[in-house]
Amino acid sequence: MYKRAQWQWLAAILLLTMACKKDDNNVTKLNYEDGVSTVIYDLAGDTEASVADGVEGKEKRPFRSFYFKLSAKLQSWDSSDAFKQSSNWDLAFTDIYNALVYVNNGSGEGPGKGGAGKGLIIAVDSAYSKVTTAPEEEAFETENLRFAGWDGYPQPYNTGWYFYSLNTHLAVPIKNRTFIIRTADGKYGKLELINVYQGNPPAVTDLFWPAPYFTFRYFVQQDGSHNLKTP
Amino acid sequence: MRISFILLTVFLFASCSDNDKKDNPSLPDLPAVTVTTSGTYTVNNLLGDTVARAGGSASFKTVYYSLEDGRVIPDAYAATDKWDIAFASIYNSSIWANNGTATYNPGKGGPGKGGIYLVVDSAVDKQYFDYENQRPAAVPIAQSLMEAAFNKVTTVPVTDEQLLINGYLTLDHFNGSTDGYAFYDFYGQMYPGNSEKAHVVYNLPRTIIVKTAKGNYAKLVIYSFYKDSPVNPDIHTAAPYITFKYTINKDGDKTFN
Repeated sequence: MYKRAQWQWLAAILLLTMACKKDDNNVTKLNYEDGVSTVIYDLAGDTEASVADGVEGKEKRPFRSFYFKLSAKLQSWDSSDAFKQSSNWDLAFTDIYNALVYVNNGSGEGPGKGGAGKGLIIAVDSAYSKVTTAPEEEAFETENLRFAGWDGYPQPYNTGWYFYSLNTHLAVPIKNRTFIIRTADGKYGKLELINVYQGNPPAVTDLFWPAPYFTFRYFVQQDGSHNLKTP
Repeated sequence: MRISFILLTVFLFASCSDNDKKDNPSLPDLPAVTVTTSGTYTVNNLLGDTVARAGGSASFKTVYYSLEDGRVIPDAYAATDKWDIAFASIYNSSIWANNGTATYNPGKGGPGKGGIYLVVDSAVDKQYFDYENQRPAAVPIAQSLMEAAFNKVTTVPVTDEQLLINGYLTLDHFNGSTDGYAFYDFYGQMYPGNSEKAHVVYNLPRTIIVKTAKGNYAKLVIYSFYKDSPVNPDIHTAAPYITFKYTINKDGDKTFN
């Protein structure tokens, strides 16, 4: 007699995020505002997609990507090649629960492939405010991760922004992990991806908590230098 | 004199075949060698970890296999050159070569000199793959394409430096991966509306080059991760049972005839 062996590992991933009910919980809002960084709260991703059948208000299908321009704080759902290859976006939120976040780089694999984007991304295990400078060009290029998603996937060196537990099926953002980025236009910045769950709850235990709703903050140095100091 | 010569021969033979165990008697015995010469071999239903569950707490046990000798190698031999490919992590779907110098590798610290590479032949690919949607145009994928992809690889197409050592081959374009050896139908797109067909893995007609731990070359095609390689697996089909064919050159030759 066979045991049921199923390729459901990731299905699980998202059970948690199947989000179909409204919650009335009071969520403690942490203070991310430092006066110079931009904080985005609950930016809705493709909330109509699901990884499973039968979830109210959702359809089982691949998630539509969206794109975000940091300076303009602008979200776009235009996935035409012309848009993807432009510098009108810096971050692409893709794949399962939009949680795989690419920078806009024209030279490698990724949504910006073939375009002019100069995007880079590396991970630092340090609190956001303690990250004060971007590395030199060469080191940055060498260590470029191209994207940040599930920590350790698809390869062991793919440092991500969340840990997905195969036990709880919850995505847990990794604390004190900051990403240093270069924007599509070549400016340096830092980015903290804070949560995929609506309201940025400090700890999610409910598989059906509404998602994906992104909370993140960033700072882009406009003078072109590598200085990333924030209060 | 004659007796001692025979003894010496026996001793040499023993030390050649299982010298790791000899150096370290605590290592488990190895299964019998089934491959002794260069050639093409098929491995049916190589047993992966059928106990671990993606939803459970256990991680999947790695399966180590020797292409050179045609046998499963116990994990106590991870840091030796006894194995050539390892099937690791979720549903044993991450395929490593044995390289002792790599930062990330199950053979780290050992003598393994291996590497791995996925050959994507665009002429074969365009006969079954839908690049716009990053999935097969239809399934099942014709067996003849599997054979065509395998047969078309007549030589190792890359240098040793281009072989992957710090990482593994995995699923095609899934959550950040690039070209892979199998399509994971996470959403059941190949059979819309049929939830029994979600989370099925379809192996693709793409040939894998393996440099063995000892530095020889092999090519390999994986037919299925399901028990008895059914044409139409679904979510209930027993897995992982890995079925593949490979050609091994035991003399360092990089061409395959």
